Amino acid sequence: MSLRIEDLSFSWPGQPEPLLKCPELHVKSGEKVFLQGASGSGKTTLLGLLGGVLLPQRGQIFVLDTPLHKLSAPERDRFRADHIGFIFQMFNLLPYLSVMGNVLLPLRFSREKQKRLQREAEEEAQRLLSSLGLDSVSDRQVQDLSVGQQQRVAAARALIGAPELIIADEPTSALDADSREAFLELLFTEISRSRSTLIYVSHDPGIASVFDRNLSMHTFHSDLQKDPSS
Amino acid sequence: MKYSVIGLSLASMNNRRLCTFLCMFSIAMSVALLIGVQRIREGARESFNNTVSGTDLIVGARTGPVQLLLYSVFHMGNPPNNLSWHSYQTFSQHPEVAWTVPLSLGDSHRGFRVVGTDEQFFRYFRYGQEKQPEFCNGQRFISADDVVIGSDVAKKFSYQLGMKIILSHGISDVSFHDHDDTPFRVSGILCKTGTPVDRSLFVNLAGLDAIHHDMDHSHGASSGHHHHHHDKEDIQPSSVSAMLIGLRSRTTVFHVQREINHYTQEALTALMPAMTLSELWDIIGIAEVAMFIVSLFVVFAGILGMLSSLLTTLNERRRELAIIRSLGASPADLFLLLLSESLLLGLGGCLMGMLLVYVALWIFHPLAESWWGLSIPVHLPNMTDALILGGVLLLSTIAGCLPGLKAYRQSLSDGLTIRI
Repeated sequence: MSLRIEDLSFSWPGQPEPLLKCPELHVKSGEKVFLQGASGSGKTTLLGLLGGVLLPQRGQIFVLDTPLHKLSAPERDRFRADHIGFIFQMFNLLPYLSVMGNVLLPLRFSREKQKRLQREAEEEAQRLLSSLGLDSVSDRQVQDLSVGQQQRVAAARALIGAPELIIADEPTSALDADSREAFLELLFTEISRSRSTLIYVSHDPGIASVFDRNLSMHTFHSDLQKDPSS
Repeated sequence: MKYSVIGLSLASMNNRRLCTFLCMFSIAMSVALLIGVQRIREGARESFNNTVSGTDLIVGARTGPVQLLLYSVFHMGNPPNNLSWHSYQTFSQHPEVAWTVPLSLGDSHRGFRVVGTDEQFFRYFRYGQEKQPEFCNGQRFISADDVVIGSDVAKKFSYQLGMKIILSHGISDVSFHDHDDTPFRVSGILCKTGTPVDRSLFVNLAGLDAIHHDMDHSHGASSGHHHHHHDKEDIQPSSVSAMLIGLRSRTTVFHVQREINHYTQEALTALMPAMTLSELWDIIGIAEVAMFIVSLFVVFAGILGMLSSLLTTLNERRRELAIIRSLGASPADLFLLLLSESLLLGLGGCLMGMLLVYVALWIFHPLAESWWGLSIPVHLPNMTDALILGGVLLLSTIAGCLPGLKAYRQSLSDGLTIRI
């Protein structure tokens, strides 16, 4: 099981009503899940919870059968470094590193990801870039790339070291339809190869059909069955 | 992990090269100023303490040692009383005494002091590290109407060898007692020493007394303007202002000093130059302390500049920090990232500052020596420098905690994404 949420409730300080409520959610390993939700529906907050940056007030989150809610803050940071790869909307890359430097960046923070490499880090990065259609850009500065190319570099960065869970937050929102499809195709190929689980958050239902499973943010706004405290 | 944080700091700083360079440069300038001031202080103190060296005792009429030092060595103020020629003779012939130099003050030439002495002065007077005043031109006075001038005097009035100049009684620039009829001939010009010697004129003691005789004569109504040149050599001075004493053995200095201070026939003061010089320095050294304090504030300003620039860029770097955080960096890592940036800026500033100091020394050391006779010590960084550099590093580290804390708190509230 890649992700298991039970009886979850989260509210920001000062909020009377919980922003996120989820009685139960299971995501199997290797599943590609599309999660649709309008802005303001709490997507960013959910990502914070899955990434271990936020803690729920109530309930349990298991990522790869690890109870995130029971780990300390540094342990959660470590867990995120070792097991999760993130792709964000845009401006995902550090402008002061080369393309290669950006792709290799997660390895600086995780020995686990380094260990999972089956070849030299640069070689693996080059392979990922090539398979994402970026053959000869590794020495370029990221500002010189198009937005579509930048997002593919970000994907390569999320994929390096084969983390078990890839979380993508609107990675294609800045792309036109053609490059969006090309991007998804390449991403899926690589994810299947590394047998990672994908959670793909977007407001755009147009691409939902290519995923294994579709979820809506409504999943996180359902009432909890019973409040154990009452 | 920690290594990677420093690596990222370096890359990020490299990305903001201009800002980084300016920050480092402002710290470098302040460090260079502080260390430079420190070096000049050392040099000034050193050269001050070596205004006179090799002289074991300075003797004058009974007065405070600082005052005696001021008029005998620095030619400031006036002797309250003179030392009789008889006492001078007595101590010249003292068995422990190797040599003596008479100094007679009270006359001037266009604002510069005239010192009456004898050829012993050129043989025994030393300054700095046992250096002897050297002649750049000409030689010491031979006849009674010869004058040897210091380098500042020569430079200011463009005096050349062989020129005739007029000395006058009293020390003001405008003197009523100029004596056109007793001109002195410049027989030698001394090289720059960086001591009061540069601003003095030296004449034969006998010659100096001749001016006074002349003056007495011209005041005495009718004796008229006859030439005194023939009898200048014969005049014995009745007194001198002070005397320098060199002993056969330094170990007897306290003994001889006590003997002079307790001399019954005349009330005298004998001082040891090194001791009184450092006493005097403690009084006038306040200026150098002020200079040091000012340069300390410049260092604070440099560090504050760095701090404000780091804090300003922090807002622009929120996204960068959020990305790093999504890769698994903890808020503590981000704190370290910012801290290491200020530490690196401080370190770079210190290194650059030392470089500036040595470049400046390389350029100005010979110039300072020839312009002011100030020898700024050129040596490898010493303990004081190490303390200064350590202090600057410590300060920049402390200052770095502020942007570090801000990054820490930002990362807690921003999480992995920033809402813009």
